[in-house]
Parts: sequence; C-alpha cells; structure tokens
Amino acid sequence: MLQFKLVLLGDSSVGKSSIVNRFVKDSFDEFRESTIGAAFLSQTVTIKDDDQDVTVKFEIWDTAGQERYKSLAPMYYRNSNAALVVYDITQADSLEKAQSWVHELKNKVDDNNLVIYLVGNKVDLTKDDEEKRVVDRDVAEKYAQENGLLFNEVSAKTGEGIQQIFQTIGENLYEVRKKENTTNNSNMANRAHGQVDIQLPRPSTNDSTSCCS
Amino acid sequence: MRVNDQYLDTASNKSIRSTVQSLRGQSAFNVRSRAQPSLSINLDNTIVQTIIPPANTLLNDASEDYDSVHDFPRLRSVQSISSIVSRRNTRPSTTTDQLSVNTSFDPIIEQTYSYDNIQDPSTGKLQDTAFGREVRKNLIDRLAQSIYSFPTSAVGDSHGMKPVVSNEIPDVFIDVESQKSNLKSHDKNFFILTSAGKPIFSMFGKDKEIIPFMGIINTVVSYFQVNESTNIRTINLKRTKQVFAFTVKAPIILMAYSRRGETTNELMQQLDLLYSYLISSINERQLKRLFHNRSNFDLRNYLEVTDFDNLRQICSLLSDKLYPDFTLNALQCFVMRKTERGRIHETIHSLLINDSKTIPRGTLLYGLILSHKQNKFKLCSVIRPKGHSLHTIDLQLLFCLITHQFENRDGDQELWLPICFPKFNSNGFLYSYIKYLSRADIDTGTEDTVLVLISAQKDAFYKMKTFGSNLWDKLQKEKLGQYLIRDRLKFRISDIQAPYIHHFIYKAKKYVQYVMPELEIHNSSPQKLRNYECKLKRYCEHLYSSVVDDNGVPINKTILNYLHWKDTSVNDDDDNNEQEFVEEKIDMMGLIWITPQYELYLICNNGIDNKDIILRSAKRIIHWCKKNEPRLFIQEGATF
Repeated sequence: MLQFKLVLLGDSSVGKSSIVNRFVKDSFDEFRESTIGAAFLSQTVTIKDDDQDVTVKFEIWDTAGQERYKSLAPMYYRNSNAALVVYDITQADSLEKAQSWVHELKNKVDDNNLVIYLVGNKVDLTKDDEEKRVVDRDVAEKYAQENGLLFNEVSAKTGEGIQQIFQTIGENLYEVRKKENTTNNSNMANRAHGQVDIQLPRPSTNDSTSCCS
Repeated sequence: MRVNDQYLDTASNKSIRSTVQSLRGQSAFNVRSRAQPSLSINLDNTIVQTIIPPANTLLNDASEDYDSVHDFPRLRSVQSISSIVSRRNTRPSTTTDQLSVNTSFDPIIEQTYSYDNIQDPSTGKLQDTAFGREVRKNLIDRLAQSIYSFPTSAVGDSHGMKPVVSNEIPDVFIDVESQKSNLKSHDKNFFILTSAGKPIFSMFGKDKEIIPFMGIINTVVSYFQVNESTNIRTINLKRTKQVFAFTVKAPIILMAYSRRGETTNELMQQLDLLYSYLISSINERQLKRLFHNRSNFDLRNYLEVTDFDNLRQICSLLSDKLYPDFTLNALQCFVMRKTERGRIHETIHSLLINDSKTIPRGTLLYGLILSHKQNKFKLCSVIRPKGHSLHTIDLQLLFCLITHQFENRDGDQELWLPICFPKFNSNGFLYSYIKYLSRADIDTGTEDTVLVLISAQKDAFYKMKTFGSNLWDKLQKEKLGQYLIRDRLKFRISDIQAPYIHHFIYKAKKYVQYVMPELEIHNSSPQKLRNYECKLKRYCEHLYSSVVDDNGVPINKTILNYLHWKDTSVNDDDDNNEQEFVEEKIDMMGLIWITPQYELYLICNNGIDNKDIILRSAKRIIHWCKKNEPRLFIQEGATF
C-alpha cells in the first residue's frame, strides 16, 4: 500500500475541516468549531492501474486557518506529498490568502513533485443565488494553470467534487511514484534512503516564539 | 424563608447565631388526599412515590454504632431504591406483602424489586414468610430512614402507611428579578473589555446593551488608576447585596457582577479563570505585543468562534452547573481499584523508561488519561516528572479545549494543540497530543477515554503519536485497558451508609482532588438537570460563604458549621388538608466541615434537622472516603 502525506491550507472558515470530514466520513455539519492547532487523520482511496486496484493511504493534516497558528504550518507541509489549498468562492480575500500559501509552498518545499491542488469551496451557495459568488471560476482557473496547479470548485456540503479531488491527487502521486521507481531501479544504491528526515534537537524549554510569533 | 439558626462549632466551641433572609422557593409539592398516603409530585406531573409499610423501630439505627450498620448485608441494593419514580399508571399496589416498583429513571438499576424473594445472607436459603416479613420490615425501616424527607412521613398516617417523599430537595434560591428577561434580570454576569473600553466578551447582553456598561467600567477603573494610583477591587452594595468585582490586567479589564451572595474572593477567582482562558489561547507576551502600538485594538477580531464558545462554557460552568472543579480548585478522579491503578502506572512507567528511542528524555512533559462524560473530565491516570505537577486551572483549561475540539469530530482524529498554561508559563506555548482511546458506547459499556501527552517541542507530534500507540497497545496487552474505558465503580449516595444525606462533596486537600456521588435525577431533561445542578451548586456556595471571610480565608483552621434553611411562613396543616396540593415545607440542613486535611460539603434531605444524626452521617462519609482513598484519588501517578 502506498502512503502519502497531504496537508490542507487556507484562510480560516473556508471549509478545510468540512472537506476532510466529507472525504473521510462522508458527512457534513453546518456548525463546526474552528480548528485549533491541527488535526491528524487518515483515509484510503483505491485507484485503478491497468485493471489492477491500488490502495493509496492519505495521512492528512487538517490545519487551523487562523493567522495566529501560521508559524506552525511548516511543520505540517514539510515532507508533504500533496497540498490542498482551499479558498471560499464567496470571499475574495480568501483567494489572496490561498495564493500566498501557494507562494509559500513553492518557495519552502523542496520537492518538485509536490502536487498542489487549488480548491474553491462552497459552490452550493451559488446554486440558488449566483450573486453570492465573488471569485470567478475563470480567474482562479487561470491562476492555477499559470502556476501548474490542479484546480476545481467543490462543495463540502453537498459532497460535489470532493471524492474526485483525492482520487486525482492519488492518481497523480501514483504516477509520480511509478516513474520514480523505474528510475530508481537503475540506480537503487543512490536512492536507498529516499527521504532523509533531519531533525535538529530543540531545547526542551517552554518556547515562547514557537507559536504565532 | 430564612436561615434561622446557624451554628458555628469551631475548634474553640464558639457558637454564633445568625439570621439570613432569603426568598421563598418551591420545587416539590406534597400531595395529600384522605385515602391515600401522601405523594410527592414533580412539576411535570411525574409522580414520585414510594409506599413503605409501617415500622416501629424507626430511628434505632441512628443510635447503633458504626460497625453494626456496616454489617447489614442487603443495604446496598435496597438503598439504591432511594429515589424511585413511578408513573401514575404504574403506581404500585399498596398491599404490604409486595412492594414492586418500576424504576424507570436510570438504566443502572432498571429492574423490578420484589421483596418476596429476599434471601437471608447468613444461610443463603429462601426464608419462610414469617421470617421474610421480619427481614423485609427491617429493610424497609432502613430504607425509610435513609430516604424519608419529613419526620411525619416516617411515622406514617392513620392507615399505617409510611409515605416516603422523594429525595427531591427544594430550591431556596429563587430570584424574583431573574423571572424578567432583560440584561439587568441576570443575577450574575461577566464582562471582559480592553483597557481602551472595547468590549471583548460578556456572558449576557447584546453589543448594544453592554457597550454603555463597558464605558462605565472603564471610567471607574481609570478613575482609581489616575486618582488613587491603584486598581479598584470591588464595589459592595450591602443593601441590595450586589457585588462588583474587578480584575485589571492591562490591557485587559474583567468585571464580575453578582447578587448571589458570593464573596469577593470567589468572584476574583472566577475572573482569574476567565483571564487564564484568554491567556491559554493568546499568551501574555502576544497580548502585550498586540496592544503595544495599537491600544484601541479590537481583540474580538483576533479571537475565534471557539474562543467565545469556550468562554461561554466556562461562564455557564461557573454560574449554573455543579462543577466543583472550579470552585474547589480540585479535580475529580475516575474510581478504580488500587491494584488496577497501580499496575497501569507501573506499565506506563516501564514503557517510558524502556522506550527512550521513540520518546527521548525531555520530550514528554506531562501525560494524562482522562475519562470524559457529559462535558466532565475525570482523571484516570497521571504521568508526570517527579516533584512536578500542573496547576488544576491549567488542566481545566485544557479540558475546555478538548471538549469543544471533539464536539463534531470523530474519535479517529488525533489533535495537536498549541496551548499556553498560564500557571506554568504565561509567556510560552506547550503542545498537546490528544487522542481518544475509546468512544462512549452503550452497547459495549465503554466511556469516552482520552489520552493527552504534553510536550514543549512543537514538532514532537510523531514521537507522541508513536509513544501513545505503544502505550495503548501495551495497556491492552496487559488487559489493563478495560479498566480505563469502563466506569464500573461509580457510586451513588445510597451506596454509603450515611442516612438522610442528599448529596456531598469531599475534597482531599493533599491530592487536590475531590469526590462526589453520581447525581440522581428523576427527570433528566436538560432544563431539569440544569435547575437541579444549579440548586445543589447554590447550596454548596452558601455553605462555603458561611465560613470564609470576604478574602476567602476560612475563619478558623478547623470549622464545622451547620446551615439551616427554613420556611418561616405560618402554614396551617388543618386548612391544607382540604387542598389537593400542599407544598413541601422547606426545612433544609447543610453542613460544611473544613480541616487541614479535607473539606466536606453536605446537603441533607429536606426535613432533616437533627444535628446529631447529620454529624454521624458526616463522620461516616469521611470514614468511607478515607478508607477508599486509593480508589477515589490518584495518589502518586506514574512519575519519572
């Protein structure tokens, strides 16, 4: 079974936890407590490869969107294979925030294979009343194309497009891994330790600067 | 209604009498009709009734010595009927031979009791009818003396039937003002604002209503700062019994308002808790920085919905719920056998020592296993460095966060929460790994059990995760996990041989932990439960404030004090015979007993006013708590 790490980023109350909840539990709560810190959970998807079922397990970090937890974010996106950057199509500044996350990911994550998926949430709100939409699909899509991101608009409330996101990410990552493996086979020795986890010891004091500084 | 005799037996045997006026309240009625024994009726028409055949040896037990009471074999099961609810249509037949009652209010004792099959424990054989009757009478006497509310009910009426009133207690704290619905109607309120006068939070009141108050509070505080160069502490209006308590911690001002007769010290403690919550969310250093250049910063923009929910929750626990964790500054512990707890702590300890690969020394600061039920956390187990412990307030803040974070998340998630423990270090953050070990499930009888591991390192999540799962695997393998996830040893007031007592809270000062019986409520609708808890809380508060001065210092090292709430209005029984409903007279007695080792709060059943009996019961409770100390409290924990 393949395992991938996935992180959700985005402004507060754009629906990150709801998207995860829809994906993992296939349910939706109108009123959710805002996330503090981050929640860690996992879910599997099955993808097809030449009539062969492959199970992909996602380890998901559902992070808090609030500004004051921003300094914790590197811990979650470091070593990630995929990032879901979420914005709310009824909030203009949430797209700006999403773009700044994309920018940060591109700069800070040293992994060319990192899959970034830009997601516009809450399309259900525009079904009855198109005026609620503030962010045009074209604008976001254009931005995604320019930056090489995957893109879709979804609704965690109705479930529209949610499963598809993870399916697509799973397939993408699987392709990447397959390519890697073929190249790896030629020079196995070099890649014996695919990922090296370097952990610098931190002083075990009550670190005042470690959050929201 | 007035508290007409209040005795104060201090070590020096001083006796003080005081009179307290209070409003008259009502919560239960006595129903009397000529042919029927009296019934007690709840306001929602649930009849609370038990019918007890006559007995002669009513108060014999009270004079018996302690041990003989303990020897009584069937007391436990019989006493669990002490609060029986039966609907009108299932009213038990009043023949003396069979008393079968349908206990429908609690699944634990949801069964029909029939006294026909009582076995004599000494022989184990079914007794013949004559002997059975003797035993039965004896049992019923004991039952009666443990639960009857009124002296008259114990004697019985002309039919020889002894009606037993429910264990319901009246409410003596009804506030006329609070029937109205505006901001001023609340007998308690909390305000939090910035030094610039911007509102942050108020327990009651919409923005429009509270903003003028914020202005006034700010002005008052500033006046004292400018003119007296000091911070105002309290405004006490003796005539209306209104108290305003202030806490000024620039850039935050907090004010509590109360007309419940709480002491200034209690209100200050409550404000400290609210302030501590703010700090747990944004630490002091950040707070100062936020306000450094912008003194008119609106903190509400910085806080989250969750923060306001948590503040509201804390306020509600402080004012309406029986939540002694805050008032006593102590934690409640999950009841577990001594050996079980010991083995769990040993297992954790050995894993900590041997598993230093996954969890290097210094990574884990503190660990907890908690049992969570109805928004209440009980400590099952503590992992802590030798000689260190976290402040109860810090832990209570953590509990608040956990409650809300898991409200609509499922248990498979693991959380990584940054939290500032204000009593540990108000300028820094610690990180808590939180995972549910089991979820509440009626079918399997499990409770919500939570593992909390606290570290100072913000990237220690994976280490904590590995350690946590190793720990749980090991506990499961050693078959210890079951003890944590099932609440098998919870007890009720009727499980302790302390007659006439409605409820008690016992705090062991040494362990900063307290114990109280499970609440027994006939009707568990949220509103009823809330009223009931509020009532118990107010009785305890009243007891407490009767023995401390305004600064919260007990007036003596050792204090034993009785409080008597009594209905002084003239109530002519003869007239009332004609009526269908007669109010149960308020005749409540409470006891508070503070020593250097423990604090005991006792609330008796309505109608009990014999101090000797109450004192004897109090002693039994203390004896029981001391005897069961290793079960009721965590004494050492897994130290490393």
